[in-house]
Order: sequence, then structure tokens, then C-alpha cells
Amino acid sequence: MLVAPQNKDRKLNIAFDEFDLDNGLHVIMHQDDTTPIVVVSVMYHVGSKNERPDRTGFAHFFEHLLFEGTANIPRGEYDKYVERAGGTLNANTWFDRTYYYEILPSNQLDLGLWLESERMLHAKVDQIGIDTQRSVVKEERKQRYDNQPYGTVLEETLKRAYTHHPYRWPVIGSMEHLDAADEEDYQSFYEKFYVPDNAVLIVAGDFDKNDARASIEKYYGSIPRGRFDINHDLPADVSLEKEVRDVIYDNIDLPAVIHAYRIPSMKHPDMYALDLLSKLLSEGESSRMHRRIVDDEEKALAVYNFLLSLEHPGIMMTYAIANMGVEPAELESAMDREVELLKSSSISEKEFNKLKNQVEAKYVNRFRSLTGIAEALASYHTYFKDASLMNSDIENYLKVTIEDIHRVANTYMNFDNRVALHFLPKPN
Amino acid sequence: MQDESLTRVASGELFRQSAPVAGPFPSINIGEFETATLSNGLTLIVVENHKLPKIAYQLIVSHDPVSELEKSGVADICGELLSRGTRTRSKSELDDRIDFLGANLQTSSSGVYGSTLSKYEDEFLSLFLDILLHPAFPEKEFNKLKLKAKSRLQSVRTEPSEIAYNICSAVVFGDNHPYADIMTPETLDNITLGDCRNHYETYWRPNCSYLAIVGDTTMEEVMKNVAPKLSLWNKRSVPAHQYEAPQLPDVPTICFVDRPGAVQSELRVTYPLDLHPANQNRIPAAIMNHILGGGAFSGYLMHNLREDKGYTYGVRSLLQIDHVCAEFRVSTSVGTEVTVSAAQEIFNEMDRIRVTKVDADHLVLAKNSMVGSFARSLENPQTLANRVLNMLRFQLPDDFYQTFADKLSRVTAEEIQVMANEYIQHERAYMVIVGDYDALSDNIKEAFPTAEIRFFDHFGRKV
Repeated sequence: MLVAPQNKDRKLNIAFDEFDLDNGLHVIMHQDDTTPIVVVSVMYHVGSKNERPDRTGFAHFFEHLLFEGTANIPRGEYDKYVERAGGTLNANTWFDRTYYYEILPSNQLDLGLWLESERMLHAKVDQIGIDTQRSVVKEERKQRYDNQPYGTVLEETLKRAYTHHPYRWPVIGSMEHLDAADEEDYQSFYEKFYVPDNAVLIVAGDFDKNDARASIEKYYGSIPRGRFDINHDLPADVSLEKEVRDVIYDNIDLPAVIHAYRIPSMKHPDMYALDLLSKLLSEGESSRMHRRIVDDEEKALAVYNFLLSLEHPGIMMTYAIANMGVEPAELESAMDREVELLKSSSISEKEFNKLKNQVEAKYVNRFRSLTGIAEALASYHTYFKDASLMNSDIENYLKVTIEDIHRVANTYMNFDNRVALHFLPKPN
Repeated sequence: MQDESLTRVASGELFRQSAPVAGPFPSINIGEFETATLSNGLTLIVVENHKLPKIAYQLIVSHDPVSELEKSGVADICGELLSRGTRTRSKSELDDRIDFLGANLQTSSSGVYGSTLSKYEDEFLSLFLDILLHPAFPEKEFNKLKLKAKSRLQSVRTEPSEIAYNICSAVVFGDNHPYADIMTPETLDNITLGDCRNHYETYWRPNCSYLAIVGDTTMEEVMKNVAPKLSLWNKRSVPAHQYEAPQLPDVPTICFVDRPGAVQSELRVTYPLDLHPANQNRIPAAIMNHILGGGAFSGYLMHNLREDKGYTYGVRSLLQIDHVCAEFRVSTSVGTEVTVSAAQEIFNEMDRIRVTKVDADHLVLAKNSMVGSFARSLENPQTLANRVLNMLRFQLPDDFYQTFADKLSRVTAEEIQVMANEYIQHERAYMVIVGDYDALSDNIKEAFPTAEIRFFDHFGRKV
């Protein structure tokens, strides 16, 4: 990776090796000895979209349970192994996947491999663990959603943007469903999804490749394949047909306006143009919505546009918080005006080049940390079965034309394809 | 398809029964840096790192904090204004160029931070220096910033963690201390454009500033391309300010912000203390705090409140070293119904670390975890720049970071207990609660009969 300092416009490249074990576990190794640390992570291809509608929140709850212990690790000891070794660990759950990782000093690679193999082979949860984590997750929900201004924006949006697809509920899910879950639910979820052929193992950092491979074979080679079919092709949701519009009263002081446009899956080629379009609208102070709605007209305190880029068709959200004394309707018409402008007229060469520079700078930042690299490799494999997109995906962005951006704006940013919400302060 | 007996076979493999044995901890190299001082007193720090084609510039103005009282917010507004127009470029012209380069640049009361791809360093640097040296303080931008700040302040009362932060600052540091200054709509109204310009002229001077440059460059390039432009920045003597150390409350004091119907309480236990960055106790005190609740999952507080009782998603303790005034703070969000129990458990753990000598396992875990965290932090070259900044600003010994891991490894359980008795106490602490008073008041009075209860609004003003 080290390149002569005089070459200031060089191409970055993440070198990696990958292989499959007989049980279907995919392994990706990326070596970099700059810092004496190693990342061990596992991404399971299971998220909230794999939940039953009467057991929402299960995937995330399960992530909490998998810190409880295993056949060989007593309750409460899992994280201590990591901290005692001078490492750190965490996990997170998303709509489409669940991700666990340890960052360890480079002498502790085997510890990380052992810990994740324990989790994959024979995690163990008892009733004490289930009860404790249930109340921890309930507090997590209050802290991050219910007691947080605008904390329920995504939840309120999703339940109107989808009618059939499991994306209609948030990852944190329903606390009543967690209460209703019983031991059999846990066991069957674990046996179905936490199997080597539904996972990718990443090792990144300072390690010896041969040693690592031998340890991987040792700890993972005999873990049996899954015994149940996993259906990742859920039926697509029907189109909205007309704008879904609602008003929600919340514990807030400044109103917010939310537009959520349905967009295709992350695998659809239009996503690159949509990503640039999103940057055009709200990335940086000079972006269109920021400059005009926040800066010039002072209608919004803040405005963001972002893609919820998911394995199945996702949404593009514009989220604006009104400045003091500005009516939501006035803010909303400014948002719509920008979309109209985008659809009706072309964008300048200069503005377009700015987008490409922003993409390039963002791309460089992806290589900043080992944990970021490990997660990107895992995601590309999980969703695209092609980790080399880590290096080549930028080409897809650079291929986008001005016409593409104009076209996707007209294809997706339409009233009959969106949810429009006004979040208003609760009357006292 | 296969049967479950395979799982049993794998499960039974003997090598799985215990954790693998590790080799020796890798050696830690904190990295190379260079420093230089220009004739106007500006200190340059350069950390070369050519892994990515990127350069970051971090300018820190390091004057004594200024007590702003009824004009609280001057330094913040001044800092934000810098990037909103120079003598020759309007805000939108600056924004256009910075975004065009794919770069980023932010100004604040403490300085300017920006980063760029190294191929654009020349243009980026000219924008960075223009903002730093020739801000125009445009009236229109000043008024816009004030409106924005007012909108933001209006929403503070719906943000429980921000309210808790305000109350902590107000009570811990007391009246007349700059750390207790809190911007309110009233103090904002009192701020004039002249105040901001004056703050810049007085305090933004090279002789109290540091510029750390990190990334794809060299000291030679910096001296050739950056230093000559920076020497145009005029030095001037910067006023010094001294403040009396805040006092602990005479009795345990509960500071309440009532939020009827809140589903959770924001809970803090906090007080001021004296712990300068150059204090010899710094390392053992940090380990002590790590054991109590500064680390991740296994600290006393997290283990008790989250893993044992399930009261909270997270709880942490912070022992914030500071050259003006340090503080101790435990923070958590807990369900309304368990607020008082959670507070009692926090105090129990604070007692425990004073009364009971830490066992070997907790101590080893804390030390290893901190050394490991130190090793991980080296991945980001900005870390080294920040450490050099600290060494220079607070006159730390030259080998402070070089010997950090070694010093840490030699701390004993006895020293931890001494540190706990020096820095942890709750007889004279503030307990801040942002929550539903009606739902909590009976339990609070019963659990803390000797405590004084005071009420505040969301900006930390007594009500």
C-alpha cells in the first residue's frame, strides 16, 4: 500500500485473498501490517427482513443474546476475553444483515477466531440472559427512539412506505413481540440463520496468511452446514400508486417534513445515479437544498437527503427540520421546487464535476480504517458475492452521466411514489 | 441436509474448550513527527503519512478560556462566522470551491479543521488560510447564524441528553466560570458583530496557536509552501485569564429538570475536581475510572446496571482531565421506574471501588484493555498529532506517550484504591435528573433524605 509521496493522484487498491470452506463458510483475508492489530468479523446474512411479522425485533435481540455465552464460555465472559486481551468488540444489526466484530492486538488473532467460532457453533442462552437482554433492549428503544426528538421518523416512514415487505417495521422492532418470543423461537432462529453457509468471515490487519488459514480451518472446518433453506427472495412490495400523506404529533419543538421516495434495490444500476443525485441535493454547504433552503431562504435549520440502500427496494429520504416560525407547508414547497427543478432542467458540467470529486474523496476515506475495510469487504460479498467491488465500484459511479441523473430524478421522485409526513409539536 | 449429531461432534472437539494461548503483545511504536516554530510564535506539527493521498490541517487556538456570562456564545458564533466570508470571497464562493474539491472545512471556537485530497492541496490551503487570516465578519451571515442558533436553542427543551449536559455544566463549575457559560436566547441577543470581531482580533493569534498537518506531505513541503504564508499572521500578546477552582456542594444535591410523562430519565452523577493533564496521578486515575465504568462492557457500572439488572442500554463514567478544571461524571439513561434504584447502584459502585481493593482479574483486564486501545489508536495518524499537541500545550514530559504503556502496566491494586479515595466521592456530588418529577419525587426523598433538591430549566437556570 505504501506509495511514493510524490504521486498524489494514485489509485488505491485493497489486496485480499478469499476461499470457501467445505461447509460453505466464505473467508476473506486482507493483510496490512501498518499497525499491530487484527480485525476478525463475521457477517451473517440475516436481518430484520428475515423476521416473522409477529416476531419483529428478533434479529436485533438475537445480536444481544449472542454476547451471553456459548457451550465453552460462561455467561458474562465473552466480552471479557476480548478486553483482557487488549481488544474491543461490538455488533450491529440492519435490515439485511447482522455483523459481529473484534479488533485485537495482532498476537490475538486466534482468540478472535475462537470466539466467533463459538458463536457460530454452539451459542448458549439461558432464561436469565434472555430476561436481562430483553430489558436492556427496551431501554435501548426508549433511549434511541421514544425519548429522542424525531427518534421515530424512520419507523413512521417505513410503515407507510411498505405494505407487505418486512422493511415495513424498524430493526429495533416491537417490544411486545420480544415479550411473546419463547425458547423455541430462539433455537429455530439460531439453527436456521447462524450457520457457516450463511456467513462470511473476515480477517484483516497484521497476521501471517498461512497461520491464519490453518487456524480458520481448525476452528471453522468442522462446523456443520445449515439444515434449513433460507429464502432471501421475499416478494417485492406493490407500488404506492398515490402519495401517502400524514401528520404525526411528537415531542418536538420545530416541525419536520419528510419525503420518502421508493427506489430500487442496491443491486439496480440506477442506484449509482441516485447516489449522485442525493449528493447534489444535500452533500455539503453548496448542495442545492442546503444552499437555497437552509442558507438563502432560511426556511430550514437543516436538510438531508439520503438513500436507504437495501438488498430489496429501498427508499430515498429527504428530511428537513423547519427554522423557527416557518410553516411546514412553506418548507415542503421549497423542497418540492428543488425536485421539480432537477426534473425539468439539466445540471451544469461544473456541478456534475463537483459530484464526481465528492465521490472520489469519499472513496479515499473508505480506506481509512481496517474496520471500515473489513465491513465493506463483508458487505460486498454478502450482497453482491463480489468483494472486488471494494476496488472497482468507483468506476460505476464515474460512468454515471448528467442524463442518468436527470432520468432517475424523473423516474423515482414523483408524488405517486412517495410518503410525505409532517412531524408537528404535540399541542400542550 | 445433515443431522444434529455433526454439531455434537464439532462441539465436543477438545481444542474448543479453552481460549487459545497468545504470543507476546506486539511492540508499540507511537510514530514519527516533526515540529517547528515560526517567528510569529505559531507552532507547526507535521506527521507524515503517505498511505492515503490525503492531507488534514488542524489549527488550534489555545488561549485561556474566556468567561462570557451574559454574552455566552461569542466565541462559538465567532468561530462559526470565520468560514462565512473573507475579504475577497463570499460564503457561497468558499462553499463552492471547498465542495468542488471534495474537501471539507469547519471552523469553531477552538480553531479550524479541514482535509483534502493531496492533489488539491494548493487550492485548499489558500482557502484554509484565507478563512483563518482574512475573515470578513459579514453582517448578513452574522444575522443568519443568530437565527439558526435561536432555532437550535428552541429545540433544546425536547432533547433530554442536551438538557442534562447543560445542567451538569451549570452546577459543576458554578457562577463566573467559563465552563459554566451556556448560550441561551437571551445571551444570544446580547452578542454583537463587534463582539465577534473583537474576540477574533484578541484571541486568534499565532503565538497561542498550533497547526498540525497530517498526511501526504513532508516538513520540507510545509516549510516551503505553508510556512511563508502563515508568517503573515501577526503576533500580539493575548490576555491571560485565571479562575477560582469550583467548590463541591456542601451536601449531596439533586438537580432536577422536570419532564412530565418522560419514558426515561437522564441521570448524571458529577462534581468538579483537580486533575491537570500533567498530573502524576493521571495514568493510575484513568485505570481506576476504567474499572469503575470508563471501559466497554465489563466495568463495575456496566456490569451492574446493564448486564446484571437490565436497567439501561449503557452507563459510563468519565474522569475528564483538564488544565483549567477537571470533572467526574457518570452518565446513563434509565427507565423512569428504575431511576432511583439505578442511582443507588451507581453510588454503591462508587463506594465499592473506594472500599474494596480491585481484584487481579479486573485490574489486568483494565490495563490490557487500555494498552490495547492505545495500540488501536495508532491506526489513525491524527492521533499522534493530537498527542503531540497535548505534550506541547500542557508541558507533558517528552517521553509521556512513549512510556505510557509501561507506566500503565506497573500500576498496582493498592494505587487504584488510593486513586479512588482521592477522586471518587458522593457525599458532596451533584445528581442530575432530567425526568418526570411527579413519578419520582417520593422515591427520591425516601432514598436520599439528606439531599437538597434544586430545580432548573433546560438551560441550567434555577427555577
